[in-house]
Amino acid sequence: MKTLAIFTIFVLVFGTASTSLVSDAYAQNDPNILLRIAEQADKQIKNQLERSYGNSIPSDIEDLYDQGHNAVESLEKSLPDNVEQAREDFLTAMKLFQQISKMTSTHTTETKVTASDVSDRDLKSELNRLHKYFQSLKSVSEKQKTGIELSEIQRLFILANEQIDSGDNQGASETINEIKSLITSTKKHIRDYSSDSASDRVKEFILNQLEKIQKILDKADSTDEIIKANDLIAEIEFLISEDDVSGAKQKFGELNKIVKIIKKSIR
Amino acid sequence: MNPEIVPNHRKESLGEDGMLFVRTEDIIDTMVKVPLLVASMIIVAAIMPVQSSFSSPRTLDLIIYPDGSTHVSTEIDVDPFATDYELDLFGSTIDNLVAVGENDFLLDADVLGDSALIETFGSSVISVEYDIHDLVSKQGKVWTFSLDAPSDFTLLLPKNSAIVGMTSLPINMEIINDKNQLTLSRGDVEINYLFSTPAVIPDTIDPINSGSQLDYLTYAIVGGVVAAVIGTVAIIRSKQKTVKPILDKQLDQTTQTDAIDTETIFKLKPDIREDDKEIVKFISNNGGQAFESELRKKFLQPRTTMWRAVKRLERNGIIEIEKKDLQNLVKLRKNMEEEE
Repeated sequence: MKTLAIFTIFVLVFGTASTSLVSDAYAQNDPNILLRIAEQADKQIKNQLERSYGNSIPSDIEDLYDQGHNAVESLEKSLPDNVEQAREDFLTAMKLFQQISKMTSTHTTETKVTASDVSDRDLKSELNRLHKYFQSLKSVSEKQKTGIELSEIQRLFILANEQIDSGDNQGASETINEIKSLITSTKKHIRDYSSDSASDRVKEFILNQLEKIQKILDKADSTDEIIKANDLIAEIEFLISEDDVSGAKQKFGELNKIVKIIKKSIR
Repeated sequence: MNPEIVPNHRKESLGEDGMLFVRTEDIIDTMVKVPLLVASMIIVAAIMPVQSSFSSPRTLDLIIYPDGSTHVSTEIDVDPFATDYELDLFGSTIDNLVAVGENDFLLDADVLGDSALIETFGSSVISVEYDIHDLVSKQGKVWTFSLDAPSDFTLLLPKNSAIVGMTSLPINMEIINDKNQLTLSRGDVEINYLFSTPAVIPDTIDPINSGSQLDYLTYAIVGGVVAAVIGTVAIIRSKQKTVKPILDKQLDQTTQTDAIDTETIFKLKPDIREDDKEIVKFISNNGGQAFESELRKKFLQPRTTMWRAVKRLERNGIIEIEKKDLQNLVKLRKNMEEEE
């Protein structure tokens, strides 16, 4: 039996460990990708250095660039046979190029990109982001067959795009604000529309959960928590029968907290 | 008196009816081991997906916009018996969050700092999309994307961006609508990129390489003919001392001084690309004209890339192209202001 126990433990441990090993495994689809990225970075850095310093590149930066460039050449030679070496060369080159990029940019302060900076507002990006947001809501609206009219927002998207293209940033900014407002109200309409079916779903979920909770409470000794939980269950059932889903949701949250305490005491 | 000691496993004997009895210890052992092995395997197989599924995204896709904001879309397995799910966001400056549950229900979500509490109520899979402004920072011309990713993910970089630094190995790279899309492993990732002339990493062999042998041969023949013609003309001209060369020089100088300044060009044409502006500045500093080959050398661009840039500027009415000594001479246009 001892052997059997050791054998079983071994299977369990190996099974657990092997799956975690698999998830950490690294799979490179095409090692040539590394070369393409590294060569491009090499060109860009060279370009950047020439633009920034002309013919008087500081010697420390030039040394780093030479090391990076050599790593790219080594990467090219390593492929396709020595993929391991190629990966090493890639990381070396890219880290050196990264270092150069940071060194050449040290004279300027780092800035976090914020949407609120209107003076530097990229209207095109903002419009694209809003369009993605709109597409998500549109998709939900269509699948739920809400029938909500969305043509006005689509028209405004086209208008804003045209305004940006023609350099009318003020007009574009106003149109974007209008789109935002319409999207907010559209989201509310979708939520209102689907609230009936959502309510049914929540009710069903809560009633199922109440059955399970009741079984847990039956096993536990009578305490203040059990009494509170039973009161809450009765209250939730009443709220559901009255179609007060939001009230039921709120009470269900409270019940869950108490059930967690009860579960701990049972253990 | 000394009974023979017989090992247990040899105690095989014939019964009275002549039947052979065999000990069954090994069979029992095997009969127990196999179900145990199978049961262990089943337990491991059942536990592992549960351990790794809840809270870990099924898919994670990121899109970086040119202004550095990032769109995140993810699909997550959640506990169908839980009322809500607390999603760790990648930062706290969040816009446009949409959470959709099974059957395409819009789920209620409250963003609190860098997490969102989503009311799942029975959904086992939810998809969440949002925009975030915390993942990209900018220093000088260099943009830096950094993320500690909870799973493998795809990252679509903006158009015209070029990677200049990276701390991890990409799993894959594709070009989608002229944009680079990287597939990256989970964990810490930092990518530096900048916007520059070569829009994307060439997916195919650089055309300059494929045509280079032919070009050299053509140049050799044409060069020989041109050298012969120039030589002949030079000999003839040296015999005819005229004032025409001086006039030519004066004309060239006039052309150079008449070229309008770059600030005016950029005001008249606000939509031109940053990399094209650099070309315009160079031409302007070069006296308003430059050979295409000079531009290629200066900006280290392949022939086709520079040709496209020059054609783009010509279409915009900023430059005009003339043939001079069998080369393309690119000149800033003088009458841009009048036309505008």
